[in-house]
Amino acid sequence: MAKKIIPTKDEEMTVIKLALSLGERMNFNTIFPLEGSIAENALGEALSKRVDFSPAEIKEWQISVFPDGKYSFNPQKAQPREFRFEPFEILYIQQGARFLEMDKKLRPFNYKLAERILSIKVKAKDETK
Amino acid sequence: MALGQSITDNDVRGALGVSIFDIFTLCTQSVINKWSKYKPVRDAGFGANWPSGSSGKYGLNLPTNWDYLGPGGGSEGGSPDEPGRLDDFRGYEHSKLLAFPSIQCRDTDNDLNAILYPSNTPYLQRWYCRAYRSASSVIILPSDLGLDSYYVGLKLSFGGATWYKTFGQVSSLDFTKNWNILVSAEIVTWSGTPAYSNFPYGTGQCDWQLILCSTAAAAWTNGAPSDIIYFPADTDGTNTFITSGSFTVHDWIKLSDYDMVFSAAAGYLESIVYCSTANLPAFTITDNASWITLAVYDGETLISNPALYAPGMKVRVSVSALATACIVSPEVGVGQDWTLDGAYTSGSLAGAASRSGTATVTSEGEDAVISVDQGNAGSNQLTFAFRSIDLGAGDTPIDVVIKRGSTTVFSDATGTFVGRDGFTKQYTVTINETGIAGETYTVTLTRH
Repeated sequence: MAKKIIPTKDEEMTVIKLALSLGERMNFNTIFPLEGSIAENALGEALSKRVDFSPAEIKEWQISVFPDGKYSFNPQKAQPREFRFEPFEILYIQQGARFLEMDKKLRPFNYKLAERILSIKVKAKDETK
Repeated sequence: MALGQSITDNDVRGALGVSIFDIFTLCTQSVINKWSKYKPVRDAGFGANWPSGSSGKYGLNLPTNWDYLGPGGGSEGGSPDEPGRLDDFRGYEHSKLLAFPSIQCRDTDNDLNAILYPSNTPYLQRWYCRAYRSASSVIILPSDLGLDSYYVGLKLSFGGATWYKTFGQVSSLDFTKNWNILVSAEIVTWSGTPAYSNFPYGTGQCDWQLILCSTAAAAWTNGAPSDIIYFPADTDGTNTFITSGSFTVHDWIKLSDYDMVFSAAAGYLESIVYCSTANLPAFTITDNASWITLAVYDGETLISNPALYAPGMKVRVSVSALATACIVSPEVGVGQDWTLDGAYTSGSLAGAASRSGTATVTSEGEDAVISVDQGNAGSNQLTFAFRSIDLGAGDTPIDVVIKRGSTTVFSDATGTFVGRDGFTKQYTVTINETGIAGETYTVTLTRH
């Protein structure tokens, strides 16, 4: 049975900085909403591409991936990298993570990542003000 | 254009035309061009053996076939231990127009016939094979695969047996339409044990496969050479690379005597029928010359144009009294009319009351000399006909000289006249005198 996810942060943010490990980057899109509008799907693809590996990372980190999602890499080279996200992007990911949590579809390789993202307290800016 | 040495996930997705973010799935896409030298291969860890992979065959399932063996997955240290690596895509060429099988046979290159006629035409099959052996950054060369020393040949399933023959080595091929395999089902021995020129004897369907093998088979043999690999089959969207097919070797029929030399009072001559089967389907006898009659005998029993021919029957050729002497060359082939159009001649001047002539065709390979007896005077029109023996398959220009005694009455050296082996040609020319009764005109044909 999955652990209950408890948000730990409660602050308003405009840009969220999130450090992602190699594994979290590879599994980033596994917590996105499974279905959505064309715009939402495009957002998901753009977010997936944002955490793509750079040529240097691909070459130096020596990443190899198995079908079950397990991977190996050069631990001396591969380091977490910080990425920046807009609040609406985090909300989009949280939407997917919540559905997965409800459906008990979170798996060990993406549970911690989902927990981290759901813990982010996001308040979207009110553009009407 | 091939991917560079610095690539991202997005470069790979773009090259493959997919929107997949899982690295292993990306490395095992069915659209990956297996002919690219650089691509994901089966190898443990970070791919110390890339690009040739742990098998050393660049991801190809050789020597069994040319299938692509991409990463098989498994687990680290397990069996298999074949993870996917984005890095394997460095230098990957997705276009099959640029990265293609280095050993290939293009369907449009070949001269292949659906039916071969051992006693007629066509009786030849020709396959053109190419090997890309120049240095390349995207193509897997034969030398990369250890195939340069392999032999190129054919495997036939024909007449209830399997036959093999090799025709040269990969190292002698290039990438032009130059090197080819030529076989001939022309029947060269029809009495006794029949044989074709360069093909196992038989009739019916023949299934063929182009092969590579490590040992030579200089002559057609039933024993398989070693390490057979069949040619790769694929298409690059423009060319189709073929590896196998089939055609039919038709039944055949031949006569024992091709050139029948008649004297003035010869009456008739006979030619024994040889054919591939005792139940040869009916075909038509066409007698092109009015002064020749044909009959078919089984022993001494007259069988006029029978529905079925059998070995040992005889074709009897009779020449009418009008022809004082002639040579006929029965041409027999199954699959078309039986045409008797041999080397005959007719001398004719317009208004002449009679047609009589003497024809002499010298031995094969030499020019033909035709003397024409002219029985009546009339005009200056002279007709001659000939069937040259060895002028080749296409039209061969010939020079014509006609003399009465030592006097030249016609000469043409412009190559206007042509002859072709197996085809009767008839020309009417204007000589520079009025035909003289009782004179002999000699028509001399030489190659232009």
